[in-house]
Formats: sequence, C-alpha cells, structure tokens
Amino acid sequence: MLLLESMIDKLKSTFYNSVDFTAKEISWPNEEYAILCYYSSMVNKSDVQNQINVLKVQASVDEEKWTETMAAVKEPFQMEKFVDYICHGETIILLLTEKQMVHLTLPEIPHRSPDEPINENILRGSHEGFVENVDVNIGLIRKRIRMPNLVVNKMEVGKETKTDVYYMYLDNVANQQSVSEVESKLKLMQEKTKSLYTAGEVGDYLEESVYSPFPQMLNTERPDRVFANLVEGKIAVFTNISPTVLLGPVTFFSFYQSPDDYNGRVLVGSFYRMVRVFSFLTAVFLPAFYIAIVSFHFEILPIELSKKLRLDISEIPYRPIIEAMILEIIIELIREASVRLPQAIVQTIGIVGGLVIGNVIVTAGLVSNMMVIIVALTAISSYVVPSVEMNMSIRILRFPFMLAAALAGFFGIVIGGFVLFIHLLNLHSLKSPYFSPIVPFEPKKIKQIFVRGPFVKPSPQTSSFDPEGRKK
Amino acid sequence: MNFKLTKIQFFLMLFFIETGVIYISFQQGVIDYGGRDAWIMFGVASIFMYLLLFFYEKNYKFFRLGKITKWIYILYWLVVIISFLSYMQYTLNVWIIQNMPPFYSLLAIVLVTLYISLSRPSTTVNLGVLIIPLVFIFIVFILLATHELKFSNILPIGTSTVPQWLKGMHYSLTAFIGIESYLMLRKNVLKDEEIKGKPILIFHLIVSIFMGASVIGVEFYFMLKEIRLIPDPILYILKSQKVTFVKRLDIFFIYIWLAWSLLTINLFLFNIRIALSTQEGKNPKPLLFIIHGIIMIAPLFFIGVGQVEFIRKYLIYLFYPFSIILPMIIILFNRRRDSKCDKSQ
Repeated sequence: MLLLESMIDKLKSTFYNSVDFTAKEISWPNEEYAILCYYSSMVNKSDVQNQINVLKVQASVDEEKWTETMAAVKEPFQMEKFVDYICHGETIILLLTEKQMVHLTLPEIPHRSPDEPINENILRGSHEGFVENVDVNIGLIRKRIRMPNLVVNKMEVGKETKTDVYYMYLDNVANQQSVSEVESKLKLMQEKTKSLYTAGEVGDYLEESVYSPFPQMLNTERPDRVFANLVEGKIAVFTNISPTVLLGPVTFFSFYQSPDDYNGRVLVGSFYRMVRVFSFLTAVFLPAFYIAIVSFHFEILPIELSKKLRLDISEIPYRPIIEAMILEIIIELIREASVRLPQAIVQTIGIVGGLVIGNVIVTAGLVSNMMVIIVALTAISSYVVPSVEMNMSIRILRFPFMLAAALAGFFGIVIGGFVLFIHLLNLHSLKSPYFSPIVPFEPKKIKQIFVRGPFVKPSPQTSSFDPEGRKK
Repeated sequence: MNFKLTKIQFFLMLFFIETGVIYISFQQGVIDYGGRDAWIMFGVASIFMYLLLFFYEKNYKFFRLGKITKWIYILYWLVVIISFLSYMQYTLNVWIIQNMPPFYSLLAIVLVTLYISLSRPSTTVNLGVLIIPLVFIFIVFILLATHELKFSNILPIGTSTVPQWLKGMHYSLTAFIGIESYLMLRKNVLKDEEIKGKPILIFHLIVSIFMGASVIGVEFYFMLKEIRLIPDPILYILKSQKVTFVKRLDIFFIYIWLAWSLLTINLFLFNIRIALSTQEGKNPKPLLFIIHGIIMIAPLFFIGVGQVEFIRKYLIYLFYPFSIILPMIIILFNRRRDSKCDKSQ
C-alpha cells in the first residue's frame, strides 16, 4: 500500500502536481496494484470508462491477448514513454506488479468545427476549412482523395513542445526529390528546434530563401485547395497546432490561382485569373510609375492631362514621394487596425480611415487627388491576390520601387524591375523553379498562367532548371 | 560551370547577343557607307554569316581555348562590353537622364550585371524569355510608322559603287558582333537536340530578317542625305510616332532597349564566365568582381561624342580577328593535333 501511495506521489510530482493531472488507484483483475493516470483536460472520460470496462472483462476471463482492442496497447513500463503518452492526451493504466502499462489512445483535444476560413473566402464550391486538429484535417483530405497512394508521414518537432508535423503527398505523383527535401528539412528542424509555436516556423525551415519577400510555400486553410495541389504533385505539411497547411513546391503563379477559378465557368475563371496576374503589375509598379512621371517625366503626358496634373500638385508642399509615403502609411495603419479589431468596429475604421481621412487630407492640401486615386488603386490591386502572404509581400515591395522612382525616375524602375525579376528567377521552392513556366520556358504551360482551361488531367509541376532533369 | 541548353535556349541566347545594343543604330553605318543598295549589301553579308555559322557548327568540337587564347577572348569581350556600355551611357545621357551623373547610372547597370553574374547559369540562360514580349512591343510600335514609309527611296537599285559595297558589307557585320558565342555555347546544348541544317537556317533567317528589315525600313523612312545626321535612326522613327495616350513614346522604348541591352551585356559576361570556369580548382568569383570593377570604371572614359563615334566606326574591325580568323586558327590547330594524336595511338 505504501508502495502504491509513494508511486502516486512520484507520478504527480513528475507532472509538477498539476491539478488536471489525475493519478488514482483502481481495482484490476489478477493485479494487486493498478494506477489510472491521465490529464483530465485532454481525455474523453466516458470513452475511457467504457474502454476500461471492456478491458477488465477481457482481463478477468484471463484471455491471453486481453489488451487487443482498437484503442489499447500493453507494453513494459518506461517513465519516459509514460510521460510522453500522457502529454499526448492518452490514458495509462499502470500494472505495478507486472511492471507493465496499458495506454489507451482516446484523447479529446478541443477544436473548432471545420468552418470556412475567414481569410480565404470563395463564392462557390466547398465551404469547409481546416481546424486545429490534424486527424480532422487529414480526414477532410482523405474524403476527397480515396486512394491508397495518399501517403501521410509524421515527425515530432520541438524538443520541449513535441509538436507533431505531418507531411502528405501522392506517391508516384509527387517529385521524389521534393519529398526528400521536406524530410531532410524537417529532420534538421527536429534537431534544432526547442519549441514550435506556429506553422510559420515550419515554413521558415522549408523555405530556401527566408529573406526573400516572396513566400516559397503556399499557406492555406482550405481542403479543396490542398486537394487540388496534391494531385498536381505537391506536398502538404500539417501541424497539430494550427489549421494552416503549407504547400510546396509552388510557383509564383500558384498564388494567383483560386479554387473559384474552377467553380465558375471557363471564360469567367480565365478572365479573373488574368485580372489577378495584371493586379501584380499595378500593385507593385503603379505608385512608382506615377512618382516617376510627376518627378521626372512630365513630358510623356498629353498636354491636357499634364496641365491638370501640374495644377493639382503645384499646391502640395511635399515632394511626390513624401505624398505617396503619407498615404501608403495611412493605408497600412488602417489595414493593420482592421485586422486586430473586432468585426463590429472594422466597418467604422473603414469609414473613418477611408472616407473621412481621405477627404480631409486632400482638403488640407497634404496630398493631391491624383495621389489618392493611385494609392487606392494600388491597395485594391494588392488585395486581389488570393493569398495573404503574397498580398503582404506585394505591399512591401512597392516601397523600394517608389524610392527608386523618386531617385531616378523610369531608370530606377527599370533597374529595380531587373533586380526583382532576377531574384524571382533565382528563387526555388523545394528545389523546383519558382518562376516556372516562364523560366524555365515551357510555352505549352504558359497559357495556364492566364487561362483556366476546361478541367483535364492535371500536369505535375516542373521540378528542375536543368533541361535534362525536365526531360526525365 | 555546369549547365545544359535546349535548342530554343541556345538560339534565344544567340539572338540576344547579336541584337540589343546595336539594334537602334547600326543601320546608319550600313546605309551611310553603303548608299542606296545598303539593304542588298546586308543580305549578302548575312549569307556570308550563314556560311560562317555552318563552319562553326561543323567544327565547334575543336574550338577549345588554351590558357593564352582564353585570356585573348576575355579581353576581346571586355572591349566589346566596355564599348557597348559607353554607347548605352551616352545614349541614355542624350535621350533621357541628362541630369544624372554617368557614374551613378553606370553603377546601377553594373550592379545589376554583377547580380546576374553571381546568380546560377540558368538565370542568364533564361532571362531572354522575359525580354521577348518587350521586343514584340518594340516592333509593333515601329510598325506604326508604316504609313510614313516611302518605298521609292531604295530606287534605283544598283547605284552603289564597289568601294561603297565593301564598306556597306563591312558595316553590315556590326549586326553579327558576338557571333563567336556560338562556339562557346554550342558544347552545352543537349546531345539529342538537332541543330545542324534546318534549325540553324531558321535561326539565321530570323536574325537576318529582323536586322535586315530594320535596314530597309530606315531606308524607306529617311532620305539618303538625312541618314548622315541621324545616329540612332530607330529611336528617331519611334520619336516621330504619335499616339493619343502618351506624348513621348520614345522614352518608353529607350527603357525597353536598355533592358534588352543589359541582357546583351550579360550574355557577353556569360561568355567570360564560361571561359573563366575552365580554370580548374580556381574560384572565378574574385575575377568576376575585378571584371565588373573594370566595366564600371572604363566606360566612363569613353562617353564623349568623339569617343562614341570612334567606337561606332572602329569596333567592327575586331570582328575579323575574333569571329573569323582566330576561331579558324584554333579549330585548324586542334583538328591537326587531334588527328596526330589519333595516328600516334
């Protein structure tokens, strides 16, 4: 009895006497001392009780393999494993005389229902979204791909947090080099990381150029988007702490595709895809272009427009770059405020920020009407992208271009444009070319950037810069 | 440096090496020195160039650079790059960035070329794809001038004298500066790609028609006496086009030409990279930095009108030794050496 009590105390102290950790004596057939351990916050108590009842009956008839149920496994007691199981929400029955433990995999970890993600709305199609439970998330994919070659592998990352990271791909479709790349990077992460807080940290390890403004993994919370990418040979990385799934290898143009493209008509889907790609140019270059014109190249404008514009900006005390910066910073402040505030107040912020400040700032003579138009158009263009990360990257990118235009006019934009595109050519996502199918040039696939064709067999993504590699 | 090229990539690189910097201006030399029959002279020169390509294709395996020949070629390409950069800088200063000190604009250009040179080979190889749409826009807007062309400008045919023919053909070769890059790049083309015969003919026809059309177009547009006063005829044609939405169309085209020319410069630098990478066990990066330092400083001494005129007049003389004579010597030497080796074995 003394042994039992001291054991229970020891177990409790192992878990720092947490109030939700339970360790109590239970009666067990053919066993003098048995202890039941679990985190009350992580198990479904009625399921556990039912399972214990079943096991007790099987043990009492002295069945040889009495632990063989779907949820139970018997194994020799090891303190390290014991702690690990408990932390994963499992229930453990310790059989002290036999020095064995039976662990019941019946965790109940709270999660939301799979509602549509608020940051990836679509008009038609599935309205399901991922949740903070990886079993539910994998289930949502398996519901769509009922094939045995949909492989799911797991790695435990974070020496302290022990977060499960899963990667999923279609065998025979996914590029094996990319799968190995994911595995090796996750292994590296396993060795180096103490704690894993967000899916973004996994993204940092998987991306090859962390300081690039362009995301090299596509983040999504939509199962239909993951499904569409898996059949194209991509790899999906899940965590059990976040609804965000990372997809790779991706191209720059993957960020401009939306599940809505395939939910609508061919022509409609194609038109909006073109609009989105065009929005990249306006979102990045439009303010820079305007600054270059009003600072250096007034002569390119037709006389009528030139006169109006000169009149408009002649009353502004600041240089165009300062004007643009004032407005851009206001837009960024409004955006940041509307993200953090409750939904009910966001509309007020929109009205105050957009209408009141926009109107007053022009009346006060701080910025010109034309600049308001340009910055508003730029902001709208940047929000067209159906990916939050790419949207943010684009918004940041326009600042260096504005600066280059203010310093050297069109010359600055051309030089900056060259640097931007060379950077895009140099990038790769899980060793695959990022700017495909433009570079490496694949004329047959280029139309897919702009046009959503009638759905036929999906084609795997290009995986190499090397023409020999592409032929393989 | 390990890289492989498809047939399309190979020809695209050659296209951008041969066009680019010289495209806006070479017509003046050909027409000024060649007279009314300049377009025929260009056609004849391009036939010679096809024969040269044919010779290259047959013997490219024997074009192996030794220690000395490698540095001779690097020096030649450096001279071409410096000349091109000087001309680019001069044109930019005349047309668009009059107030910017040349040092800064050149620094920006050279930093971009350095970034490309330090990137992986596939970046340089594929960069041309991004320029293709710009070249198309360039051509479409030149075509706007069609209604102003006077087809009678080239008549009567056959009025040029023999010295005019020689000079006209000589300056026609400006359109093919850099053709020796064929020998540098050809070895990296995938083995199963067909180059001989039809592909090479189609490529050369595209380049010749592209450049030849600009010669004949300029002849149609300008009177023979006018052309002497116009150093960059293509830009002048663009400047004279009027559209409703933009007043100075030429400014956009100078920037398109700048991007196009930057690519040409980089392809010449790529030749240098290939040559440098043949040094076993040596990291070519420090040398690349030195080379970029040179191409940053040297053009600053040649951006005056006189120097640019000198370049336009005399750069073409380097074509003969480096695109014709030296390759022939290297190929014949290596052929002989190889056959001797075969016999001794």
